[in-house]
Amino acid sequence: MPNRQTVTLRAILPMILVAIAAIFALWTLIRSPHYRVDDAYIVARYAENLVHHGRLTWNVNEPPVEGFTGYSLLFIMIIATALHLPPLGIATAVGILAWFIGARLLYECHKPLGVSPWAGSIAATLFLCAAEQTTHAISSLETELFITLTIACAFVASQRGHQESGKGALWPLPILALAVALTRPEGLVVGAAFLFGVLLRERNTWTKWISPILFLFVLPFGALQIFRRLYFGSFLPNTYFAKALEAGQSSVFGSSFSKHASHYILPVLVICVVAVVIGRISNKTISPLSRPYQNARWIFFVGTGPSFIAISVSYLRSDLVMNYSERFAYHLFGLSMLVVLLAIGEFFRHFANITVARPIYSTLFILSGIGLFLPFAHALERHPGERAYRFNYSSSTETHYQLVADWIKREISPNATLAVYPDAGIVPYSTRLRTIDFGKLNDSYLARSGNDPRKTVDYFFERKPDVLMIALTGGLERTYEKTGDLLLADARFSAYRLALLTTNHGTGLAVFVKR
Amino acid sequence: MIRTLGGATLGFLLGVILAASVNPFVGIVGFSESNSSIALGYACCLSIGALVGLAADKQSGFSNRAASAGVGAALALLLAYVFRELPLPWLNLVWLDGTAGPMSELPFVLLPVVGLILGSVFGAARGKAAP
Repeated sequence: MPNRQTVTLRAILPMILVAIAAIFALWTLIRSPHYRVDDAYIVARYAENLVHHGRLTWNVNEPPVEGFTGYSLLFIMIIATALHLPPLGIATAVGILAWFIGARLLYECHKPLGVSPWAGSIAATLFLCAAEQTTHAISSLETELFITLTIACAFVASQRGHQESGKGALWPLPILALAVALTRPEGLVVGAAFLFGVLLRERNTWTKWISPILFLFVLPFGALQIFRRLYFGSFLPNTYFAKALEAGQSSVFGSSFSKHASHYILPVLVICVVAVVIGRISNKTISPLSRPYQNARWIFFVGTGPSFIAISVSYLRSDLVMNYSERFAYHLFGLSMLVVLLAIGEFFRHFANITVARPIYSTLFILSGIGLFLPFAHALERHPGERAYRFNYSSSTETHYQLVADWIKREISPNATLAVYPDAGIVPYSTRLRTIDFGKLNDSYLARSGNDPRKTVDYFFERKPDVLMIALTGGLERTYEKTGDLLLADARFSAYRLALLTTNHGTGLAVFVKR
Repeated sequence: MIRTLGGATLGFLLGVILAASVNPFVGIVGFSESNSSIALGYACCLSIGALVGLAADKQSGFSNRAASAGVGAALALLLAYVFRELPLPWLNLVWLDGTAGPMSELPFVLLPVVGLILGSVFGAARGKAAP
């Protein structure tokens, strides 16, 4: 029988591993260059317009448009703005905090799911070591918050597997389901799927769930939908229409997610399958899990399966712009890491019961160790690349976007109308000018007009903006996409003159003003 | 020791023979590029594992030959996967002039190595029942 010291050491060692990973994560944050995604400024502009002008809209004196993705980040920025705190700095702090809380929750998930603490610590360590996580944590967008809320939903839902039907606190899950639904539109599926999983298991006492689900999830979300319909004129955000794929277009999600899965999920699944197969062949007496753990896992799979499928299908039908650092695949990272946690847990459970000759056992041990190392190898291998990406992004923000914003503030009248193509973040936010967003997110006409370049060009000349900021990829001959090329080549564009050009090897920004 | 060497020789020869058989079909790209050639690589490794496992006997602790073949195939899958995915520079032939790419994608490297390792493991396991 192990003595007390051994038991304490066994309990502490997995936590030490997570703590070391947390220090590493902190170190990557400290070493990271200043980085903020352009889209975060869009949300900050909405928050400022609401706080300072009382209107939740892109341009103050225009009909409201919903060009932000979710309400959680907006609420955070509204509160920060109202309290005279920097909204983008607060959003970054929330992202970082969410990252560490997510790791902690991920580790804790080993308890309700009935796996070894080592499985929890390995999954949490991977969660903290993945190079892309640093980028998402400091991006000022809602990515990390969404990931953590999905883990929290799974954690609370799987804990219900250990409680008597209808007993205990019923309010945390509906609140978390609402929070995840407010963070990103696809969060509605995650929240609803976990609620459905719990309701299915506790169907005998389903009446006890009516009040919490109705008052904490259905009514608040329903009220938001009514507000959307009345205020913005649509049940769906403008971003949904802006990102809808046209026939013939293909989404980047498939390749992005397969890369993500092959790095972080597949290696663990392979060693789990091999250990289970060898365990079943060599020893048929592996003890089954107790009923509460089976319940918890059942709820987990009912919640995770539909979430994976629904989110993947919606992304496969979308034009995923700003998919930096595999961002859209990372929205599933929390649930992916929970699958990894379960797979590692099953690996440990079966590996401990394998009875084969020692040379075979040792070989399996070594190969499994290398297999477990693979996701970490990929995670660490990506760090220099991610750091370089953040540095380049930050440097291009300073040398192009900030430069243009400062120039516009200095040279252009505050009553002028600015057109941006396609980045509607930092320049409209810094200049506070009335802005037409040709990146579509904040323009209901462009978001719904499809991808016809002619229509977009005609719309530009109908609106007659005073200033145009356009992204270039090959000097003045090649812009961000075909529509931009057509716009610059159009005869009507002779009404504009080039006022500022900031390019580096042909890539950068051009600013045109009305003659 | 003799059993280990015997198993290793048998596994290595099996790998070489299989590599010689599939090499004309996969061509210069080896077990890469398309899903079918990658799947063929795994299938070859599984076959080697199953055959090496079949050669093991009850003294290795298995209840029957099907069980030992199953364990051999499962180990081969893991070995091939780890060999393919390990991101180590020395597993890449780019340092050799005139060629490039991971060694694990070449039939004449992957299959003999898998055969050699599994052959020696199962050879060493003969006569050593499970603990």
